[in-house]
Amino acid sequence: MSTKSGKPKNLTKEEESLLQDYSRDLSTKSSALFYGNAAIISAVPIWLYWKIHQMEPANNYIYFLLVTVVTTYLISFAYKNVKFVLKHKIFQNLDNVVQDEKDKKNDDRSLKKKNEIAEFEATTYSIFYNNSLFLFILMVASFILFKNFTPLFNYFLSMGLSAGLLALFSTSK
Amino acid sequence: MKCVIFLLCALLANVVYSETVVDELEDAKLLVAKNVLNNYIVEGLNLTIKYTIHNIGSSPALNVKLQDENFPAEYFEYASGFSVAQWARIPPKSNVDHVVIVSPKMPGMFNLTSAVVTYLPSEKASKVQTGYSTELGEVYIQRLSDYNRRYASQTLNWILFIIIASPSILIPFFLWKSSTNKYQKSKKAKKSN
Repeated sequence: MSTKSGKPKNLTKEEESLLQDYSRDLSTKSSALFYGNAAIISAVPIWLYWKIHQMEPANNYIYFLLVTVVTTYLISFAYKNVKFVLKHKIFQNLDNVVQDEKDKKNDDRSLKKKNEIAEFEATTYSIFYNNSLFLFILMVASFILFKNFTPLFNYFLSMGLSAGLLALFSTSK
Repeated sequence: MKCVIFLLCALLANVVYSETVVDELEDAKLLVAKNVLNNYIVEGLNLTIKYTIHNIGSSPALNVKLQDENFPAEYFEYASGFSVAQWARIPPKSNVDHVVIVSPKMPGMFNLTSAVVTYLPSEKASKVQTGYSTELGEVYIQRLSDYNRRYASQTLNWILFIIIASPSILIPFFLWKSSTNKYQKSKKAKKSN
């Protein structure tokens, strides 16, 4: 029996593109978009805790920074998962809306177009859905569940709970 | 006989008592009430103290001096009024008020004791009388941040938070919606064709 050769099989450009479309891995642009949005939505509650819970940034900037970094990671994880699930659903629902007479013969072009639309809609909806859910859970946690805690513990627990639940819910299909 | 002696004793006691009461109220007698007019005592916010001096005697009180050393400079700042107030004369059966506004410099427990009032009980008196006001006991001075968190109006802060947070929600929503609507319209157009 011949031994397997150590060289990996080279993939064609189309095969790589197909793998990319069906994997959870994000392109650089998508990653940047997700991390950027996650950082923004993680930083927004700082205003809330500064003005309403009276946590001075000068005294608490370390905690703000640490929690923002952790929640950014968790929220972008949630974005990625929700986008992956949504993209396939949207793709299936797109039908032949992008096919015109000329493209009927060109399935690849049509598929590519559908893929782009599904990618765009899944990305934007994932961001919208996760941001809304994050803020909702944060409001409930901060002003109802952990209302009587000190502001610092309230911040840690509310942000941790919101981002944690978001990441958890995103793993379901 | 016993009955007569008893009646005589009762009459004598009444006369002595009446004379004693008259003697007590002949001179001025000052009663001082010290009240805090705030609902909450908060670091950095004004605290209003009102002193009311009642002269329940029959003579005017002279050279009245009210002094309160409860608000030392390292813990309180006087916003209005002074720790010492003087009146040349407080007429009988009347009262006067003195109001002081201070601002606590730091939070924590603080003991508010009595103010001291000194006066001459009559024009002939040479010996100064000393009296003490009611005391407030231990009070808790809240931190300003705790007070603001509980009681301050946060309407403007909530409005600003909504303005800051809404782009993160509305922009992705409108982008998604516009894309969905565009391809829904295309789908309807093709179906009708």
